[in-house]
Amino acid sequence: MTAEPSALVLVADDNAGIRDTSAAILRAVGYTVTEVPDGQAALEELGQKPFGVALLDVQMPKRDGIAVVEALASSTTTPVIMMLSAYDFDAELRERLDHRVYKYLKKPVPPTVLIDAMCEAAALSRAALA
Amino acid sequence: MSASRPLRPSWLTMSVTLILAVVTLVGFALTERNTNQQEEALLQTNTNQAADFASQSLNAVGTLLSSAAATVTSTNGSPSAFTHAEAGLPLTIATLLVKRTGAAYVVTAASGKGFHPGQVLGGAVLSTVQGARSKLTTGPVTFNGKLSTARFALGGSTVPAGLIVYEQFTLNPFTSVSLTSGKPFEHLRITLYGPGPVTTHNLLISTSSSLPLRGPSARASVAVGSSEWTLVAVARHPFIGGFAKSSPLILLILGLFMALIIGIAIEILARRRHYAEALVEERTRELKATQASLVHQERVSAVGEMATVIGHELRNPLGAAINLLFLARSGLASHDVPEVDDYLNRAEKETIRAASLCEDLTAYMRERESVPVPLDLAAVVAEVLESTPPPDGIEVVTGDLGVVVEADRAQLVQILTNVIINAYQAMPDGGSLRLEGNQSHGIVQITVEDSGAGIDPGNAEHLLDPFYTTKVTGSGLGLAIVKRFTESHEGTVSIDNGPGGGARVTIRLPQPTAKATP
Repeated sequence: MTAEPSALVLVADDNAGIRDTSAAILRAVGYTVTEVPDGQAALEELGQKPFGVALLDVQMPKRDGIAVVEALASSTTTPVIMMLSAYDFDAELRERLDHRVYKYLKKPVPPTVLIDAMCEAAALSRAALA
Repeated sequence: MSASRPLRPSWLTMSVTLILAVVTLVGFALTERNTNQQEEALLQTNTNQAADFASQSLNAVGTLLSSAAATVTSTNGSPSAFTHAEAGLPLTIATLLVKRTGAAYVVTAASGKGFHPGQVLGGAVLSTVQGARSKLTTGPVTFNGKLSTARFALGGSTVPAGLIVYEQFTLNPFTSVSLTSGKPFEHLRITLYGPGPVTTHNLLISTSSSLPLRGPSARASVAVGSSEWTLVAVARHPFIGGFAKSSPLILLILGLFMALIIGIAIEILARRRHYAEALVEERTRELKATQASLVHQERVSAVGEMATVIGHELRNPLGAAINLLFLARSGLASHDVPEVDDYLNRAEKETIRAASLCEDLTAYMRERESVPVPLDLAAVVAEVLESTPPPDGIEVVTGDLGVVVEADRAQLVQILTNVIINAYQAMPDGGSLRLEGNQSHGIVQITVEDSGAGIDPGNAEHLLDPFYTTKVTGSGLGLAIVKRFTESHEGTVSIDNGPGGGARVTIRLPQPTAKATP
């Protein structure tokens, strides 16, 4: 459960409790984490920094997680995306986003599951850049 | 229709039918009585006319005797003159001139068979001549079984003293004679009896060979000379007409038939009414049940919606709490305070359990149509066992699972996950779990059997109810979700104890109709 120092992670969730604590756990294991409260801010951050992994909540104000994923479709460099939701990911949504989303995590996500998933996503991101 | 009608007719039907039948019978009795009275009156009138006619005919004998008496008087009792005057009579008629000599009566002149001059009279002839008066006197009428004889005499002042004129005629009483062949006898069967009681011994004539006459009869006195004869008559055909005579019976039959028809109609109406009432009652009951069900469903729906919202809304704070506990434990690990570490562990477990309850609650309340697709049961079971591996000490044995089942993938995964977790929890000290699937008669049957303590058969039907649990830590929704999802596939789920004594959950789902998807 160690992260490469270069792994830059974006955590986008309108729920401050989840956002802050998830970011804290990820920082504790070595990731550099940027937190944003909505989809619009997430897109802005993604346009400015080369994030390796983006952890996006589905339901967010301004632009939701799905809109963010679809907006990133035209981008040349995209981070590895993991979606987070308190609801089930229905089959239709999976079909729409499957080729762009690495993993779907349902809330509440146990910290160990989060760390393991992040570790795999970061490794994928590094492999893509290499 | 649950309401059934006994075969016995209703009281109303029986009462109305009975009343109509009684009215009909009373009507019949009154009508028949009236008809009979009319018939009797007409019969009596005809009989009286017949009696008058008979009286006139028989009294004609008196005229003949008076003529004979006149001859006797004018010839001063000359036997030869009498014989000459009475010659040529039919053999059935005998005329005598009788002279009283002391106490005896002797024939002085005779015309007709069976008598001769000098003959001393006796028997019925003697009694007749003994009673002879100036007015036509009738003697006994006798019937010997073949022939009837009527006797008449004239004496007194009509002939010289000591002389008596006597006449008798003999006939077969059953042979038609002019007396009874015309009016007013054509409508009657009559029997004419001589003086005295009405018996066969003094029968004179009858138009019927069968005596006594049958049916309603009338009697009339026939005055012949100084005595009263009797004429008994019955009608050949009813005087009031055949239809009128039969009308009481026709009325009776029609009345009883009408009573029966009206009774049947009332019974039909009563049964239809009873049926309609039962139908209305049943529909009302159904409507009330439906209304109650709708109210219940609305309430359940509101509660379900609330539970779903709460379940979702709790996920974020619970997730944050789990994260915080993890962070706290990570930070405290270096302090090496075992009690606090233990407290945090327990708090984390409880929080995870609360999150799991939220998960179960939202799963149970979720309103989602099943989308069945053909699935390879073995592949789905492998997927579930991978995400829900058996705890230490529990062995999972899978039997034949080469079955294609048509089911909603997510719901089947949830069904198997819940049943398998339930089985794990039933074996806290380890054991084995056996999974099997097969299909027959259009049903895919999945069996999950553990080697735990088994279930109390008395609780079996409640184990599938929501919030019913026999475990300390259970939410009581795991098997309820299994039941809901199974029923959404129009399948069934049951729980009993297997041959090994452990609990056995049996799920039956419709047979697949298409090829399996992995």
